[in-house]
Amino acid sequence: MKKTLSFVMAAGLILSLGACGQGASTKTKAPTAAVPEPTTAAQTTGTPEETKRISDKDVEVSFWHHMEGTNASALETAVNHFNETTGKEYGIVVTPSFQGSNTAEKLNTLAQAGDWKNFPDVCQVASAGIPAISGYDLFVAPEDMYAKGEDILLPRESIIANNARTFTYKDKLCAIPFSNSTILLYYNKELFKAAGLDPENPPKTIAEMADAITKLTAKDGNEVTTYGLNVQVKRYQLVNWVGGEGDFNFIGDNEGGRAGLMSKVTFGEDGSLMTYLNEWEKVIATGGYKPVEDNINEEFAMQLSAMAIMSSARIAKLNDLIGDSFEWGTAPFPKVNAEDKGGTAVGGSGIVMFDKGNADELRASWIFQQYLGGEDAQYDFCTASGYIPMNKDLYEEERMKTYLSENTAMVAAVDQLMASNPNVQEPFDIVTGDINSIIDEEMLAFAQGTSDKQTTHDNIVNKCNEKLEAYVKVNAK
Amino acid sequence: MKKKTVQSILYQSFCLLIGLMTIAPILYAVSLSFMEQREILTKGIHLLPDKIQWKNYKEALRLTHLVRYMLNSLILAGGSSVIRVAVAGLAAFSFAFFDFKGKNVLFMLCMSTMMIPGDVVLITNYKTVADLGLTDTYFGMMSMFLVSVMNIFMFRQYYLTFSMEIYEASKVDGCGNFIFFIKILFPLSKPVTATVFISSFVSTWNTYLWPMIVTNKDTMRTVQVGVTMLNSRDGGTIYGPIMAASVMVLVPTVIIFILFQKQIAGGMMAGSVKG
Repeated sequence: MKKTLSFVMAAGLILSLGACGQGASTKTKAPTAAVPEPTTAAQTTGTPEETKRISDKDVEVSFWHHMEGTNASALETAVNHFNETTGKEYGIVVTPSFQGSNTAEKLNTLAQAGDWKNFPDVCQVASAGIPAISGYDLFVAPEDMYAKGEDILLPRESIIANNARTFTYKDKLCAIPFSNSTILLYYNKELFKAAGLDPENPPKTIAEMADAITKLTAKDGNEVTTYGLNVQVKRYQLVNWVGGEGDFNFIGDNEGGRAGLMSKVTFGEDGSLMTYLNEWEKVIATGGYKPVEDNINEEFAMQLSAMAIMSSARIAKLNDLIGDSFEWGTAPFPKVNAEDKGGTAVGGSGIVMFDKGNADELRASWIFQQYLGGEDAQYDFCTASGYIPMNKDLYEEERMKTYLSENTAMVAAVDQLMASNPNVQEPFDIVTGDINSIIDEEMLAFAQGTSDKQTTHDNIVNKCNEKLEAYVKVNAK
Repeated sequence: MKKKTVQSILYQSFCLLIGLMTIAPILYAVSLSFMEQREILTKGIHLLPDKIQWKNYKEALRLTHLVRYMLNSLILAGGSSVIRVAVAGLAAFSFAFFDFKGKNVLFMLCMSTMMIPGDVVLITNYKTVADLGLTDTYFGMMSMFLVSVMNIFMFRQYYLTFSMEIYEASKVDGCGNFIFFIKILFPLSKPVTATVFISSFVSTWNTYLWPMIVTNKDTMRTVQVGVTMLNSRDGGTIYGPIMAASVMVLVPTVIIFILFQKQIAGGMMAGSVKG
């Protein structure tokens, strides 16, 4: 018995060691991407209907996404519509699947394990994931597909410049923008009226916002019953404020990581962070600012805060929560200084695709990728979810004009996005999570009075640079 | 006598209070699952729904394939818990009843793996499972939960209290090790088996990350992913349907607990008297 047991254990140990050895020596290189064979039959221009099919058999395309709740339903409707229309014409069947809230992280896990065969054909990713994803051997940039000029369903010029810039890395468009948004000021018109403020003239700068907060804040003794403003300043909010200063601000070197690896933040040395903190100090001094977001949508809907700063993607949700309870509106994101012209960044996700070695699948993926940026998909998806369409041509269509006239809260979002400088973007700062935590922690300490302005400034700059430096040290080639 | 009664009342009141505090969030979640959105979002305290309505449950089932996900979770949690009990029981049996060279070193080696955080080996584990072609399979999902060193430890500690004389007597009577384990030891180990099974079932049922990584198809998702799918960072939180889904998700674990509750209580008392 003892001998048998020893033998089994020894065999187990040898096997496990073997597995470890194999793991260490396995190359993490992806299989070489197949070059798509040029197929003239399916070119859009002047192609007879019956020759559009890519293959005799339907081509299956796997599509990973991170949409949840009602947004997921809107996305699935768009995919189903594709399968019933364009997909049917070309013989493509797309299967969507939810992959958690961070698809880039999942792709990264697969890439690190060298599991290229389980990669999807098409994937929805947040813009922050673009630098890493564009490094995968399987990755195919839309820019290269446009250069080939085949199966063009969505003209490159139809993509709004700001949205295209969001997904551009090293001068290449790496994703087709899909679910995009911008940051806005939400305000309660009725509380504005009650406080003697003009509801049609919301604050345009941080200083004006600070004045409004003082008037809007309601207290019961020492306890605040209605906050003038609710927003937790994290990376998203801060880079929009600083990014919009002057004509525009890149936040970091190498055009904020879009021209190459971002190795440091620049908002310390150019003074833009301090300019912002000088203004933000006025907001904190009001005593009516809530620096923590518990349930920002719901608190605004319950009139616990008179103003809130959130993504435009929340408009649909607020419509649903508020209903006819009170009158509210959206306004452009208050500037740091009145003379700033930069505007705001485009947030949200885009669609990337991968070449897994099958030319038919690659063509099908390209067609589907463009479809999601087309007028129909953008109209259906955006009107159901509250995102801002990225297709320029759609704004010329009657249905979009009607939608905007009926949804006035969206107008501020669209106008702001169109008027912004395309160079105002969230940086490709690679260590996004770490930078978000640093800014969140430091700005909260500043708001709660446990850190002064200079310390906040220095800590943000130094800690962000430490993280970036560590990343560059390990990863720069 | 009077003092004892007062003490007992105080003690029981204290226990009742702790019990109520523990269960209060769950009861509130059940209550919320029957409320309308406007009732949930009120400034004042609103503990009970004005009217029982099933809209949130219907919405939760409409937005996700929760029934399918529950089946997946049941296969995952049930299957891996049964295997875990078998593996842990047998491993503990060898550690408690056999005497072999390096037994203690091997046991310490096993125990030391508890210090390695699961996240560190996530990618290596994924690579192994992917190389074996087990992605998108139930076995691939279960693979990480089949062995638990903590459960081996629990079984071993329980077996160490078992009388060695019974083991030796059964051997004299010609009973082999496996027959002793199956016919004598295992039936007498119901309390620890129940404890291990419940803890294993609940922890696997609540797992999110591994099943999400190792599966790519929507049809292979588990309940925890299903509940997450109802939440939306941009679209905000839909409390009613999320609470309804959470209540539905809670049911199997409650059933498992009720079924095995007696054994756990029995086990606690069984260990209290020696000799």
